[in-house]
Amino acid sequence: MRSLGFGLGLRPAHYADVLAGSGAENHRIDWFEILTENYLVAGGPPLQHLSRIRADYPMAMHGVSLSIGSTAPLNFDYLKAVRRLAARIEPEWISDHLCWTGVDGRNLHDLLPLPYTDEAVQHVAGRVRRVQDFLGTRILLENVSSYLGYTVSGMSEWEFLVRVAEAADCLILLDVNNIFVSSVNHGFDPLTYLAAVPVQRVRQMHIAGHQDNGSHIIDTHDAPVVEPVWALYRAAVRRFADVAIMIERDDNIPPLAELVAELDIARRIADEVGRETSAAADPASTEPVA
Amino acid sequence: MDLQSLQKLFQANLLADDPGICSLVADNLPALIRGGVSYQRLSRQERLDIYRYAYTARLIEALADTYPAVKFAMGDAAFDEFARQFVANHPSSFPSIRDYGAELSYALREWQPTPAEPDSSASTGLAELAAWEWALAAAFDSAEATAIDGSMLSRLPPERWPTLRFQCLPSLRHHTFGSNALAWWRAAVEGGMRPDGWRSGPAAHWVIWRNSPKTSFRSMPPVEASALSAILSGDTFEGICAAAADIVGADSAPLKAATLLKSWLAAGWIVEANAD
Repeated sequence: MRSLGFGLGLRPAHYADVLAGSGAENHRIDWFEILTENYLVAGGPPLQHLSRIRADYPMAMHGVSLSIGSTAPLNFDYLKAVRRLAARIEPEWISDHLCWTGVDGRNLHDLLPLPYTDEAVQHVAGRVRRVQDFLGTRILLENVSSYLGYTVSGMSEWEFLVRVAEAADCLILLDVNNIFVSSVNHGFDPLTYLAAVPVQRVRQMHIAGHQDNGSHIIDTHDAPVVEPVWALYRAAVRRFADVAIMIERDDNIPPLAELVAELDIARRIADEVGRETSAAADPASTEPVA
Repeated sequence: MDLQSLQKLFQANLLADDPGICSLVADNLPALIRGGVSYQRLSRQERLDIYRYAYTARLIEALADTYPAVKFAMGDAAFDEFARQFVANHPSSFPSIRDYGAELSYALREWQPTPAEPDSSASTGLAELAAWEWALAAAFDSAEATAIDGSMLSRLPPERWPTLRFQCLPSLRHHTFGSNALAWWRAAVEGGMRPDGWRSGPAAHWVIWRNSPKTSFRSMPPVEASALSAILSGDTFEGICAAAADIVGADSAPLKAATLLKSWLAAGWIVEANAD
């Protein structure tokens, strides 16, 4: 499957610019990711904007409330709403997070970490299969940033992610920034993480900014991507060629042109890596022309 | 420790300070130096506090987004304190954080700017302001519907009119103020003059609706408010006449109700009409 290219998160602050459509920056956005929960409404201007923008751009749906790792029952009212939205906009794919968000009927509106145990692998994989059956498509699960681990965990985060994906036969949305954030917060090598993830399961990557507090890093999505994350991204595109790339900004939203310029950096790095890879595969191509 | 027990303990820590999860949080990480920066390792409690802080901050931010005029009227510090208490007492159960905070209006009825000197006009006004902002948000997200033109009514035999029932735009809402809350809203959202305090007054009726994509509102005289309440509660045309009769008298009520109905049709508020 060919990659969607380089996309942005669709944010209300940019509706007007995107709908105007004539700016040069719009031509450098290949696709949009939407926050599913923002459009689980009966009607109104956001849904109307969405339909108009969908006519011009491919889209992916990205949710935060699936709570796939929760021990509470799956919320089928929520899933029905997700399915209705998917029928409306025909997304390229549907994604959510490898986490839990609440139990006992509560939603804590956070992407809470799971313990990396055999029990959790089986539990999550079973729920993913049920969700995929209900939605009629394979979903993408995203690795989350985390600030704590559990004493009961018996494997690494990347081993847990891969085991869930294999057991559920789902796809992966690899968030490069989240790997970086968690590598600092938990003290692991992010390159080890990248190397462990099967290439064929990764359909999309996120890159984003964060807040470095000195003692730890918080995944805030409110700032430009920083150099160490670009470096990790370079390593990621070297391994996961031809997957959809997306810059995720959720707060402190800058003008659209600023995000497009950041997307250009992602595109340039991917191009550079592509040329390096081609040159390595065909050494003759780098020899000077006589 | 099984997964369910762990999640219940984690949630109990976030919602009720239960310390049971602490011993399950890993605390054996080596010091990390990366890029010349030494990252201090956090304690178990500090790691949990990141989630606890984020939980409250995220819901307070959601309330501030939904209720900008309430925040304006209360002031940032008082709003944050009130919202923090509200969040502590009202955990969310909604998939979308946009749906959080419907009960804020009720909670504000108990709020006092200076507890030592209770001011019921402030709490009543703030509650009305919150209800108004919630109603506007609900109208914004409500379902679309196509208005009817009323030609069917002109063909309806007079004897069937009393049985007529109507379906209104899903966004249509009747709102009653007993205070100057709307002036506070205008000051916060439209840049109007800031009122010099909270005042109570006679009931003022307003209607909110959205003819896609624009949300609109206007005031209503009491007779229209009474008739609109009747139609919104599913009354027949006869019931609408009875509601109008309470204010204009039985003789004038049918003509008044018909006039109102005509204006509502013209405004695009009626999406369905059926007679027995």
